[in-house]
Amino acid sequence: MDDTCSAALHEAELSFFGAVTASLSHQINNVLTIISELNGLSEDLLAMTAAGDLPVERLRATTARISGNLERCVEYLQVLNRFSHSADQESATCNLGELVCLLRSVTSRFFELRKVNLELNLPEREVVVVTRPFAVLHVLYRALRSALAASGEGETVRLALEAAPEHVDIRVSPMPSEREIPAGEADLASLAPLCRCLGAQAAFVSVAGVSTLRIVLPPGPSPSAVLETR
Amino acid sequence: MAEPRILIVDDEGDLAFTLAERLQLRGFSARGVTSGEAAIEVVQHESPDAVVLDVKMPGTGGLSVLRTLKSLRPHLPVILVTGHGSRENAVEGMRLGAFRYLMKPVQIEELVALLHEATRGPGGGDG
Repeated sequence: MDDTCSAALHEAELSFFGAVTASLSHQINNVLTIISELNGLSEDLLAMTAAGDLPVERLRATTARISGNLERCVEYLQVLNRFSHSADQESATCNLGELVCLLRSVTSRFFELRKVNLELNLPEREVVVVTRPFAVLHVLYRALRSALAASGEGETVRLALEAAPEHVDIRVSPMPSEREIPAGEADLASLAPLCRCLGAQAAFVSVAGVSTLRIVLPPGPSPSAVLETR
Repeated sequence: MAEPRILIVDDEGDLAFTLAERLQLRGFSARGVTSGEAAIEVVQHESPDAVVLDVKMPGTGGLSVLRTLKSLRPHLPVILVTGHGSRENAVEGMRLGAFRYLMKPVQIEELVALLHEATRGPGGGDG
């Protein structure tokens, strides 16, 4: 890869990292805001209630809501932590299904904002590969954002993962036609260098009349190899 | 004097309902809804005196809801609530006629003061 291409890839990865961490930190901020309001409500109830006349049930309900939101906050932080660590591994043994589930978590807000569903079709057996996890997340994120752009409210984006004996097949649909792809979203030209980093190939195919992005992670010792399905 | 009627709109139900409870404890008649569509419905049928509106919401986003509310009731005071990442949207909201905008997390006493100011003016209760 030449310097220009490498710089462009670095910029694209930085943009991806920024978009995801901004989204997750927004979600964390939202939940902390809720916790702050619930805590304020508890203080209000205590301050406005005469001694000996505590609204016990209302306080109990408020603390239960605080607990629920604390759990949400911890979940978001765990997702943010796992995502951040994906960037500091050049090559790692990864469960692809788990990586796809992490991707679902980091992109959930984008789907919620557009009221679009995300359906994952994962094999029952684990698919374990040696790869650069951040690069896999990046490619699939770009693919999902394009599929999201091609979907309307109430529609469903599908991501399917299949393990063949000598490669892994990932399909994302629906994809916009080449001329409908919004600026900045994934087209084959922009996905190609990302896929090359993984030793993967990408192509648009039609599956039952639906434009679909097919990504094939090849076998081989490096950089991405199917180790086993179990 | 009747309690000012406040509508709080936020897709995070816990936030909308908790803010409503806190405003009720401070003498407002407040209720929360969790979508722009529900907010438009309430404004059409219940004539609140002011609206507290989250900018970033799924589906019909806050600015789109603001445009609709302003077309229904041009003088209705709408206070926008936004995160740091959406400050530009809040500024755009001011251009569209929002009364004021607040950053999350909202300080309750600041919101109360703003609501008193908003509902005392000519816009509150013009429905």
